[in-house]
Amino acid sequence: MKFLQGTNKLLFEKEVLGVWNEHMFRPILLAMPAVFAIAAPALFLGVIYIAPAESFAGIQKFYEFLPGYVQHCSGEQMTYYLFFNIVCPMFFLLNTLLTAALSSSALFGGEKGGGTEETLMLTPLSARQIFRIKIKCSLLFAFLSSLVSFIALVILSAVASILLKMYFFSSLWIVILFVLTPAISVWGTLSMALLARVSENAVSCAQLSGYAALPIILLFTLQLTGLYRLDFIALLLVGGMVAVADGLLWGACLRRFSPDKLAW
Amino acid sequence: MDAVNALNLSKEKEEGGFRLSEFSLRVPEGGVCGLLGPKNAGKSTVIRLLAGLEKPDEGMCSVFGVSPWENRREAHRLCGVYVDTARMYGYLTGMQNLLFFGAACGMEHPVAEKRATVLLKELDIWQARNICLREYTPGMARRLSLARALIHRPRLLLLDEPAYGLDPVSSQEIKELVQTICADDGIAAVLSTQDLEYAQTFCKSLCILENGCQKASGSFRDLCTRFEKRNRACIRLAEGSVVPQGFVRGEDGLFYRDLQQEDEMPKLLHLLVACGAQVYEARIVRPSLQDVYASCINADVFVERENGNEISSGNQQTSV
Repeated sequence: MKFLQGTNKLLFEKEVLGVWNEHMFRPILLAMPAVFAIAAPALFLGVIYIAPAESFAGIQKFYEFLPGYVQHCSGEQMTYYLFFNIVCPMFFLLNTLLTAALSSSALFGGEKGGGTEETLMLTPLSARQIFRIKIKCSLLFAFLSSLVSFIALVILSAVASILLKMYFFSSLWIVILFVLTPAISVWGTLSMALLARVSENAVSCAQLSGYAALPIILLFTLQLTGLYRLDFIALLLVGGMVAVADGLLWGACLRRFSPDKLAW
Repeated sequence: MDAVNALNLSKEKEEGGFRLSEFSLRVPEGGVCGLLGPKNAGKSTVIRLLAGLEKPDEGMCSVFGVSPWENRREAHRLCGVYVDTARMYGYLTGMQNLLFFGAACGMEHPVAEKRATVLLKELDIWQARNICLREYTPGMARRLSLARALIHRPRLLLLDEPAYGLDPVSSQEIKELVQTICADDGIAAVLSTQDLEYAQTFCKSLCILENGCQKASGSFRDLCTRFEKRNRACIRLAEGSVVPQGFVRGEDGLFYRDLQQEDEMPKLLHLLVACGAQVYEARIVRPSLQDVYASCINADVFVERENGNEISSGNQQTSV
């Protein structure tokens, strides 16, 4: 792979170490998949399995959001299906987004806060070469975190299938994995790279990542009001829109990442 | 080819006015030029423009014929830059930092390692090579930054106050190191400093700035001539002696007189003794850069006369 050779390889390794050595971010990066993809779904599964069926009376009105082939299932099955295909995707994408955003904050804001961005600009490395390596590094963290989360979800889903005797993965996950996850990773990375220009350091930059998470939370939770339903096509459209926004952000980042824009 | 060539460089302040106005400079290969001036004089701006960290609003500059802004990659292969704002990675050790920046400059790993070893030993931080930079003292970090600027064997060093803010011992060591490295390797240097004594001994040419304006430039001898700073005869006579003809009494009680040439001194002494003066002590006092600097900064000099031509300070080309 070209970017893993020579100077780029060394730069990439340095960036990975840079994210890993941000002591405030490391526990969060490790905790997010554990909470979003292991603890929360496992806890919910435990509650559904242990609690009596009457406990789910309050959420029966949400069953109408489920596809027809699930409507004949038991309350436990429908409740976990609802959780696995509406709440879990939100958690999964939040993990992806926040991992990308925190890594990007550490990479871009960290350089700025540490005063090392200018030193990089004093080497023969081009600003765009540095920018691209940072983006790749941030995406690697988002990819690894998503992969770990997905593996955890697959395992939990298998356990749930055994316990509740039902297969829980819907076709939505195809869009989530192959369209939304990459698009949202890029969105989180690029938006933080851009916001790092106005932040003083990695922490102040990371604080802004909460705003990036808000649209995802709203997108998934507002469908419970009945205004819309995120089916396969709707999610594909959302993914497409995020991808277009990524393209625009990419252009804006490339224009702005030059030594002329360094704070001084 | 000139190491540095700058012509009419200007950089405006965001709030209006100039950080640097019509600055010109020429430093030949192997030359050392000192940028002097009070705070906010524009010294750091010159370094940043020559390093390609900022784009000039007007004028042009080049290092070995390469524009640092338009071809930064090539310029940074030729230059080693030390500016205080350019830090290194706290989570990497001294050696790792140098190897990283060596690789960033396109050096092969074994070559970078060999060079880093030499520099760490020369700069007396070899013992700390495996310690994370965040644990370095400011003096050690400054030395490592200097090593970073030198790792790729640059042909030109751009140094912005390398010894500023350090304790006297570290400061002296850094200054001596820069001087030795430049002399041994024939590296050209542009050095911004407020240490006039150091600049006088190290720099072959000097440039004095104030409020972004280039007030004077040239060799120390040129500046002395321009500001009429000559060698002076200094004598101490017996208590109550009258002031000899042509001498003035200094605040320290000694008598001073300007000399056109050094060989006037023996004749002057002979005359004084012949006239019956009791000379207890006699010596030649040479002008210092401090004297020149004080005259330059206090005098409102914007136009200088050279060879009978009136030349605005912005258009002067200084050769080392």
